[in-house]
Amino acid sequence: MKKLTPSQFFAMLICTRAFSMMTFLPESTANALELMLGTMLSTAFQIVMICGMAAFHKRFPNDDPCTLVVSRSKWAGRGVCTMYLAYFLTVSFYVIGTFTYFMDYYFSDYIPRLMIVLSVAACGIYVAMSGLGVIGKTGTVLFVLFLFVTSILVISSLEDFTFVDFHLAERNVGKGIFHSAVSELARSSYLAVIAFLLPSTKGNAAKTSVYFLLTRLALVEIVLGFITMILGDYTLLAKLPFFALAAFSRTAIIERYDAAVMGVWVMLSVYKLGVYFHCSGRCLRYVFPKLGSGSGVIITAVIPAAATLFWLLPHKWESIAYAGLSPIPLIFLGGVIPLLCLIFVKKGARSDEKA
Amino acid sequence: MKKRKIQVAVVLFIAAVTLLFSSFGRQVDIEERVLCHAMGVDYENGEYNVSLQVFKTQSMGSDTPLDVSQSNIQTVNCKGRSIRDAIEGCQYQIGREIFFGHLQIICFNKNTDFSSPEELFSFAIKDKNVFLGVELCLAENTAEELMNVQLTRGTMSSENFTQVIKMGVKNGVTVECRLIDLLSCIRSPQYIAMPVISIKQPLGDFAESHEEKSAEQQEPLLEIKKTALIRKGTVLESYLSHADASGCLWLTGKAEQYSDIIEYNGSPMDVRITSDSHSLKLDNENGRLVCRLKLSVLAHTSLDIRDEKSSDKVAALVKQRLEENITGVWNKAMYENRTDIFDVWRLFRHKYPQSYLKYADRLDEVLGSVELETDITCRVS
Repeated sequence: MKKLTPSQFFAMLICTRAFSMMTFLPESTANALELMLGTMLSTAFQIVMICGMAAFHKRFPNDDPCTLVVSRSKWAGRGVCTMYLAYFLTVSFYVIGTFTYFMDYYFSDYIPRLMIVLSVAACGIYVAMSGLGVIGKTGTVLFVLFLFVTSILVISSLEDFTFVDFHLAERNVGKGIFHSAVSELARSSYLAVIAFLLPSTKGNAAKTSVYFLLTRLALVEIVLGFITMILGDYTLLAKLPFFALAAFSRTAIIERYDAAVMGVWVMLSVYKLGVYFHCSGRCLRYVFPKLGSGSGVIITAVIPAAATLFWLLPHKWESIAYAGLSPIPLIFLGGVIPLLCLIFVKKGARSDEKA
Repeated sequence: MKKRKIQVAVVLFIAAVTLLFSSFGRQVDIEERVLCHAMGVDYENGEYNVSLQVFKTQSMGSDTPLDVSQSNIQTVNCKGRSIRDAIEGCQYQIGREIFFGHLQIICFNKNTDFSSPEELFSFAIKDKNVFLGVELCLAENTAEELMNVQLTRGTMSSENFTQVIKMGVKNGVTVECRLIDLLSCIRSPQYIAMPVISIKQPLGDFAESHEEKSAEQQEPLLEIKKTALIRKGTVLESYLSHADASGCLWLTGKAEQYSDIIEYNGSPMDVRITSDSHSLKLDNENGRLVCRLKLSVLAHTSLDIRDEKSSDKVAALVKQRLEENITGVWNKAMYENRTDIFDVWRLFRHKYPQSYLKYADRLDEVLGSVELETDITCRVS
């Protein structure tokens, strides 16, 4: 199987996080500076988790937690694979639902929700089945596009740049920062992908992951900062603050960049789905080894796509969107399981063999 | 091979889904839409009278963007209990869906209550197409009057409105107010300055006959004579003059240039002042809040000033004029009307967050006691 280069791995992770950044929904009590400080705190915690994954990868360079446990115990392996599969399916469910919800919000008179779900799921299947090599190369292109649109937003907003809107005028600052850190960790589903794809990456994947975390921190702080500075309290009213900022941006040539941003966002949605379908397809094949690669991807696409319809069709997706994911599964998959493998799994001939 | 077959099948499925389901959606044809570029809102007796200026496509000149023989503007009026209600009434009147993506200006009358911008602008917040940088202004009389005025031929009147405001802001005679400026303070104190547009009727008492005048000379002009102060949603009776508005722009660092006349050696001299650098800080001196303005400007005189002594004299005069304008508007806004249009409350919240929380319900008292110190440096160019 083709491996990802460090730059492709980096770009892939940025693109999966970029989707969450663009569909960020602030809570009604959110304070921007608390969100930013919480993001820093969460990044520090995630670097600690990456260190654990790095230690795992150093001892078992050709295995991810699923293949390692499967090679030691069939039923324990199936249990671990099912946990990863369930998480990837959940993230896929959120991506399909969020994408459909916001497409419906923007174009509700024109496109039925069922069609959006079918289209995006089918496109995600195509991306997943193209293989890791294609995913890596596509991620690099999308990363450049994402950087381009973000740069446009930043440059066109520089005129209104001021630090005055950042404040800590809140009753319980510590609690707010901690809550923000927990929310940011919950949005960091890429940690499970890193743990899963470490053996599929060339070079020092752990080092690349740390670079990714720092780059992601910078991007999130910049985007949050500019959204706060320009939109102020409107951030809490706008369905999509990132798009609201894009709609407000103007340069000498073009006014309103929300269409361009939406185009990039659609591509990022399909790409992120492709990555998670690929990962969940592999997990499903570990659980059911007789399943073909294509069939595995299709099954893991159909399940979340069908599940979203139960909330989308009766217009109840907002209850899911504002609830968000819990960080506990992520801590378990990205931290606890690799740590348990390090402690309890001994080096065996099979896991030490080079590919 | 099998994988390739599945991929081809998936691509065909995507194409089929796209084609089949495209007929399920309701599409709005361009003929079913009308573009609104200016809106007037008059609030009277619990009702909103909305006047929309829309692009008229049926006139002979509609084939070209600029047409000097035909008006491309149509004004539609309707009343409603809310602005959204009135807009829907307008849509029924013209029989087409109104598209607000090109909306450039919204005019209000002085009776409008701005205390709940979330409710007032719910039509804009819910409509993703409305540009957040839409200009807001007040009408001297009614917004409907402004929407119905026939302006310079060959341009859309919405362009004229926004041009008048932008020119006014650039030359320091008024303060700009955009939709985002109101919406960004929804959960915060509402202190706003908004330009007031009035119609200047053409002069008619000349020797030449009325028919001999060109069409442009007969048409009214828009002007901004003053800037309104809005405190907690209510338009106050006190207004800012051009000099006050200029002082406000210098204080907030938004001034580009300002033209004034100073008395130099007993004669009036034109001087154009441009901004060089600006800094506004809030300090606490023994429990006393002091707002420190550090401003550096360039003065461009109409006369040639060559010697240093004359240059210093002109610089001192310009500095004095700026200080008068700045302290004048500060006293009028902060002390007389308790309207913090300079965003000092943001500085207070940023630098002293715990004090801000403590005095949040008595912010007017705190802001009313803030003193201003200016340090203005002027160089004559």
